[in-house]
Amino acid sequence: MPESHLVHISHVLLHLLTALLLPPLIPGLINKVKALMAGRSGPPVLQLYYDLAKLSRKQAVFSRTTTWVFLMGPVGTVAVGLVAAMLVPFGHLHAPCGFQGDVILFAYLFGLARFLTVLSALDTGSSFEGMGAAREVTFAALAEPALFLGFAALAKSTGSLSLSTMLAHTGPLFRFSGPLVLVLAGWAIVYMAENSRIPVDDPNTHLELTMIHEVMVLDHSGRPFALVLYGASLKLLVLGALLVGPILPRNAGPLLDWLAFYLALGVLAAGVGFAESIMARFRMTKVPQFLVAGVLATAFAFLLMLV
Amino acid sequence: MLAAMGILSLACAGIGLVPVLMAKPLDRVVSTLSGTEQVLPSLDNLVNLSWLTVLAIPLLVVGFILWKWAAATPRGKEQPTWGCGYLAPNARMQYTASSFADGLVQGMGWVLWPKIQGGRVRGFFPFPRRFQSHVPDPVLDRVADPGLNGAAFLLSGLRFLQAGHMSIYLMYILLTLLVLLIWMVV
Amino acid sequence: MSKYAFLPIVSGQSLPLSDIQESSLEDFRKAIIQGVHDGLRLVCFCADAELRLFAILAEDAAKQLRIGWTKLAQASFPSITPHCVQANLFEREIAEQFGILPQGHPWFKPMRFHASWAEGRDAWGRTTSPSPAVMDFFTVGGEEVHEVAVGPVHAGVIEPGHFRFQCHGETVLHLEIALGFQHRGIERALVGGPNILSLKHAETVSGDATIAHVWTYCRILEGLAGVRVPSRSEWVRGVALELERMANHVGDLGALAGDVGFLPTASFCGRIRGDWLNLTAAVCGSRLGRDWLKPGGLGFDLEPDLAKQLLPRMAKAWADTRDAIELLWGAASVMNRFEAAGHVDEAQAREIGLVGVAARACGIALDVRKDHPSGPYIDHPIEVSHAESGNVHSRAWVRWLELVESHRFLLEALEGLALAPGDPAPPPLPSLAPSSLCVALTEGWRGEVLHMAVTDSEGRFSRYKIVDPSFHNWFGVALAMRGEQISDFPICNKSFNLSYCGHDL
Repeated sequence: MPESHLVHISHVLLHLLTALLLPPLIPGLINKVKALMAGRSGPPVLQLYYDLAKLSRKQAVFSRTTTWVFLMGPVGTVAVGLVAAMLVPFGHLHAPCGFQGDVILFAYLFGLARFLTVLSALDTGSSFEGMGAAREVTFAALAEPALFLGFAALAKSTGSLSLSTMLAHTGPLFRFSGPLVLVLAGWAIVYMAENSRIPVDDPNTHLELTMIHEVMVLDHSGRPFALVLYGASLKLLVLGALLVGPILPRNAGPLLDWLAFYLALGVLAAGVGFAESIMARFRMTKVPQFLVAGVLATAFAFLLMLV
Repeated sequence: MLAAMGILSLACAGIGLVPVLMAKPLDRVVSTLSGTEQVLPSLDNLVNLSWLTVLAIPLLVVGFILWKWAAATPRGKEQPTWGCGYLAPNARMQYTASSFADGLVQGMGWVLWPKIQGGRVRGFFPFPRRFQSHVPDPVLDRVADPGLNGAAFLLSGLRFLQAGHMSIYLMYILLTLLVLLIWMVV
Repeated sequence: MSKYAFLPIVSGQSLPLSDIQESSLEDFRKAIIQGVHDGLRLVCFCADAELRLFAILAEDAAKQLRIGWTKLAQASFPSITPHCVQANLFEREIAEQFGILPQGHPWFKPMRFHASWAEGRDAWGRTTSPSPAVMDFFTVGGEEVHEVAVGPVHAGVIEPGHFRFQCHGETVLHLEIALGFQHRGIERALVGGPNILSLKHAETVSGDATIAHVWTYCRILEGLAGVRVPSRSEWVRGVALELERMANHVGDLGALAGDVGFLPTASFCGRIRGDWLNLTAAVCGSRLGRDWLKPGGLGFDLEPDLAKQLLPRMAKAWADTRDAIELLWGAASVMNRFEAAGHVDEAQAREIGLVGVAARACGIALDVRKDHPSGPYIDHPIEVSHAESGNVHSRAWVRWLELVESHRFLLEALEGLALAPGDPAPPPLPSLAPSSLCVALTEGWRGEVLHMAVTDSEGRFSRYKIVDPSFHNWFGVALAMRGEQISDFPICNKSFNLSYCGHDL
């Protein structure tokens, strides 16, 4: 009994460490893949770690028009992301925290983060940041149904409202494989939109008029900006774990399960990098159509689960 | 105004952080509405609400620590909000509420039918103009208001019945009773 | 008596001022308004310190220009702009430079924000030195509209300029552009020349169009000095101009791809542009072509051996260019973005007098190399590339067609030059004809570059006028954005890719 306790604690520790330390690696991987695809050598994979270290030592400039609300966005994004990371199963075993109904908490934790980010963007009064905030909430309103319909399909399949069960035990996989593909397709779209990747947003653009997420943090600098960058990478990890969750084996033994998880994240990052390398961004007016496609995919999955 | 909004937002935060307190009252509301039979399972059975409170503690603690860390950042000189280095910014460069909502309003345009005036600037050297938009409430302004107005208009044709003479009203009552009597007999 | 009162002249021709008959102000205005109404283009309209107004109309179909001038009695004249939109910026420039008031101008604002050259005469009555882009902008009133003020400091590494959008949500109701941050006073510095610095001034009018401006400057000097350049040297100049076109068009197409987030073309073109620039550097040592051309001939000849060496390098660069850009046309997501944005229709384009790539993208087959040919383009004509739709895609497509055409020209030229022995170094130019006027046009990669010089009684410049294509085209950017999505502004702007310093001089 004490030994299994120890194993459990070590898994929880590994989960925590993964959530804390791994995120900045993912954008690094994506950028490396993009660079290689374009025939460049690109920045080092660990670039974001260096950036975070640099930013945490830099002076921050605060706009005269901002108030304490301005700090809420960066702080909220990271705090919420870390708590959400505790709800998603990563490698082996369940998530450290899991309970009936945690899917709803999970979805709205990100809602909370978005709310705080939008508030801190609007706090500056800038028209650029206002535009970004408006785009963010408009598109999020369309991404949310896709996320929830996917959850509904998984919940129907597993009879559970807890992420640990829903993702780790997808139930009768044979019966479920068709809908699962649809759910994953819908969620992939949500993943692109939520993490502001091409084709929805361009994380590398310097054009403030076309950005969505990046433009909202135009006035952040120093440590608050470090939190913004870290929060964004955390979101890549947590939503990535959600996306790869249903297809991981989780019964090959602890070591292999964790390896499979990291490998899957790597493949996901490479996939994102690949997708960004071969297509252009959508026009801003086309983005809703793209998101609606995600909603439809997950809606079909849910309907298929009902019959 | 601010105090009222503050109280409401505190209530929201309270429900979010300690939802257990709200589960019982909500269940009572549901059972009152649905009568004696139990149509919905109790909220407490469906979702483990006390977990939300448990998780709120790390959320707030982590938030507090990060806040302290971020606020302790070495600060440079205070600057105005970034305005691309333009020398004479003005208040019109602030984002507006109407613009913020525009994305969703346009997306739902087929339901909301926003009314827009002055949205198109023409000519090489246009004259200054005004832009105005308005989203009428689809239920109140589009259905209820015109519906009730129409009804009022139609019914105003019956105004002549209302003369203000007691004797005439007594006659209405008599006539009504007569009609009822005939209806009963038939 | 011709239909137009103005005197016909061809590009590169010099003639004594006394040969051009002075018009009365009334005739002068009528000639411009009637000419533009009949489809001629107002390519130059300027004043000088003696209150003379000069105007040049381009009669492209007849391959000639028409020039006229008038002398004002006082520092004002009735504005032509209400009848001829093309005069808009020219009149504001005249007002700003010499304090001459165009009465009744509907959009009377400074354009470069510098103090008047005429002592004590300012069209706006300003006494202190003006700050760039600080002026009254057109506003769409109402509390719901927000203004987006972009620049002068931009997020990318580009030149400074101020863009003021009147927006509601994502829609641009109106865009007004205020430049002037790059004003260096080049026209004024050229007065009293040519001197040792004049060539350098001409090279830096707009650094990315060095060859186009220098060649035009050289032709002004050669015209005024009555010198003929050997045809081989002219051919080398053609190579210089087309190499400049290749490098810039490749860079532009890559930048357009970058703006829509299409990485393959964006990253390849960045490198390939360097390959083309290096071909220029191989001849003259400067990637921008500085010092390559010299009045009277060439600063660096393209020897037959060098031409032979350049041929395989160019073949390699061309193969890469074709591969990178064909990816662009194959990507549906890119085409979708390009076709949706930045529309200017042909009638609008004609009315505001667009030139160069932007005009050809609207279906206006306008090209100085064909309409006012000189040098190598007489014996080796080029095909004018044009598209119909006037949107971002058309402007990108025209660039691609021009790449193909320029490559053909370069191939023919380099093969020819590899066989022809080099010219001797040009002798120093004789002195310039006094009291004369010369005008020259060149098709730079952006479009029509015009220089006009007037000499005083000692053969020195008393007025040197430069019209960069950007001067005509900035208004087109503003029009193309009306009613469009503000998120499409970057690609729309990039598809014009105008010069800020060429406008600001």
